[in-house]
Amino acid sequence: MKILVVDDEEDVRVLFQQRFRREIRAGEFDFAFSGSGEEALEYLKGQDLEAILILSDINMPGMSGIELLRQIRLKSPSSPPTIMMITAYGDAQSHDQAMALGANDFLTKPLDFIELKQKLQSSL
Amino acid sequence: MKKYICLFFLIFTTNVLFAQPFKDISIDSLKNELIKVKDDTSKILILDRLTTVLTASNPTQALRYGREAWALASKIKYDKGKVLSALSSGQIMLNTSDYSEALNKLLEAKYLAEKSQMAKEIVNINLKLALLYTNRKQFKSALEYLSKAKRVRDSLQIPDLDYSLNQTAGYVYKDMGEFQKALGFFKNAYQNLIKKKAAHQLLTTSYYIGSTFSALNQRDSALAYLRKSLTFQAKFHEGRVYYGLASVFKTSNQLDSAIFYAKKALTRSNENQFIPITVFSAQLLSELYEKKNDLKSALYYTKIATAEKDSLFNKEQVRQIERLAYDEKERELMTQRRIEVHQADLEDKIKIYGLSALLLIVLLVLFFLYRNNKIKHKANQLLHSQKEEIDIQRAKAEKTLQDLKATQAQLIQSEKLASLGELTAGIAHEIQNPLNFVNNFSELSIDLAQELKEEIEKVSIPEKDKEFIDEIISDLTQNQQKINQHGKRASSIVKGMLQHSRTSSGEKELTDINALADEYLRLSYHGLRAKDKSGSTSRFNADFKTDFAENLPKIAIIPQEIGRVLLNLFNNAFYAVNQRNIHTIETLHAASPQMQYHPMISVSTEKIGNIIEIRIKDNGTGMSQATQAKIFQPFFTTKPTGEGTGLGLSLSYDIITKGHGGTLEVESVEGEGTTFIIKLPYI
Repeated sequence: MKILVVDDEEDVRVLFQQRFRREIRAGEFDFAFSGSGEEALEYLKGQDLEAILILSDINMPGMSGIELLRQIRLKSPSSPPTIMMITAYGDAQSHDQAMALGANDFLTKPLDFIELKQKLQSSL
Repeated sequence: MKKYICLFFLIFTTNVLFAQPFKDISIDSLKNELIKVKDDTSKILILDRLTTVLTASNPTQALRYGREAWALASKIKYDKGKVLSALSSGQIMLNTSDYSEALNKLLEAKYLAEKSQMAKEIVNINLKLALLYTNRKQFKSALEYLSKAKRVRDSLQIPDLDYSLNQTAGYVYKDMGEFQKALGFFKNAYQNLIKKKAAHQLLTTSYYIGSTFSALNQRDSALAYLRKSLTFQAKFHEGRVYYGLASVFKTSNQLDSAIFYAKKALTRSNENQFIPITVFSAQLLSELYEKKNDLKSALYYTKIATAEKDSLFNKEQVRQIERLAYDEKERELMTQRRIEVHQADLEDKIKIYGLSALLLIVLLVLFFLYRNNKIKHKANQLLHSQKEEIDIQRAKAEKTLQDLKATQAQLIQSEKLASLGELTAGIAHEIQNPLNFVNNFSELSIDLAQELKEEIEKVSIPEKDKEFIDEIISDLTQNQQKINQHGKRASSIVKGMLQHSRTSSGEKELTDINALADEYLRLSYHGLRAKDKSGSTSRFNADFKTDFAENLPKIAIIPQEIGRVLLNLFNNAFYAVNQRNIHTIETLHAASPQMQYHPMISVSTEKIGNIIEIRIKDNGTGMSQATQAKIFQPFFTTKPTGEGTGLGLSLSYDIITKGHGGTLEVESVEGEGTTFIIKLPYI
């Protein structure tokens, strides 16, 4: 199972790699990173969607997380892949929109990694 | 003597002045008619007609009819009849030289005619009186009556009377010796008759013109008119014409012709019982015979003249005339007085009417003034009420203007706050991500330091070095913890900031404000007490009371948000009273223990019109004006660093105004306390 993290922030990759170093080393989590929605769609081409969990930020330059979600759900209306959306604190509008478009879960920044780890583990 | 002759001549000449022969009316037919008619006005008119017809030929009989007419008119109270009969009888009496009776009758007729306003008769009566006074040689009176007659005629425009006026005027002026003037009037009268085609009346006027020419010594003209007068063959008239002719011949010294006509005159006058002509003729004959030196004949005629003259100049009659003249004067005076009295009455009446009219006008004026005054009063009242209304409206307008200004200021403040809020929210959002990294990496670093410490434990290195490394790791961990702590602190500020921009997900629902306020008040109180107990020293001491309006309707609000506002305000209130309490204990109370301070929070609700008002009052430290101006601004706080974000009131302000369309106001006096007033629209 691959976890595709979509975020325009470069440090997210470093953070995830360091935060889940043990899980990565143990082969529990396998992270892939995309810097934008477009990049993520490109990555997903030819991938087995059933073996992918997408963790995407909403506010991104270019294609937003919401748009990415819409595009993915357009191609495969029913899951997989599992898609979790991450947004800034209190953005209720994005939350409602994402859930309506078929997001599987919703996380709020700042991320609670313990909660995230549990959610990832239960989804995998 | 000559004067008397002249007088009698003139008197005589009047005899038939107005005697009009009624050739077309038979005396007999009138008499027959008289028998047929009853005793009414028509009988009086017939009697009067008979009187007039018989005036010249049979004066005695005429006078009898006249008296009968008078009696009947008096009986049936027919004033017009009385006037006519009096006028006719007066004429006869004038003719017969019975002046006293004539004057009596004419004045009676004048009185009645004036009373009955018989204009034509008034003129005739005045003319007859002018004649009478001319005969009496009282020319002043004669001219007065003549002028009266003329005045009445002129005022009433009676053309038929032109002849009578001219004839009488000629007669008066001739007797006064103004022959030319008299001749003018007579000629006018002559023309009047020709115009009227009353040729039968020309005999009298011709006679007068002839005799006037005679007086003017114009022999031929005198003879021509006198002869013309004779052509009418009126026997009763002939006597005086013959006498006139005799006089003319005498003047021209044609004595035989004069004697011839004088004798004819004497004969005719004797036949007609015209005493004056008898006297004049006899005297003339006496003079003529004296000129012819026939003294015997002269004496004979003198005797005749003297005898007749005596009968003419009856002393008693003269006295009677004088008495009557006096009586008439008196009557005139009486009349004058009556007129004066009447005039006075009239004047009195005019005065009364005038005064009444004046009174009426005054009353009208007063009424109009009163009405105007009333209208003015009403108008004033209206103006006054309008002014009051204007004042009220003005006050309202001023109040509205003030409110508007306040609202504008509030709006500007709101806009400022809103834009500031949006700005801070935007900034907060942008800060949040880096902060997340700070927090995450610091947390991660703490973990890493711990892992490092564990890994070093596994490695064998000198104890001293190990301790040093441990110390470094411990410091690193501590530093990371500090970074994390302050990062989280910054994060909480950012969270608060973001709450401004957060779109509420809560739904409005009908809420009992009293219950909500009570719940959050207790929550705040107990929360603060719990927090205070956890500290080293317990200094929280405050009381609260509520005054909730009964039957307050539920209003549509987002309970969580209003709850957040209330909690915020309660916390602030408790904080303020607590601060004052601490201050009091530390300073004042220490100086004077009897001065006790009782921290008190009171919460009240009230429905005012369409507004639900919540008042949160504390007797805490209060705020200065400068502080009050800033409290709703984001990040403004009076609390020590770390204790408040300065976003509580700013957020509350947004929730009340933007979220619920209400207002949040503050009233505060420094050192005395603060009241927050929430006004929520009740729809």
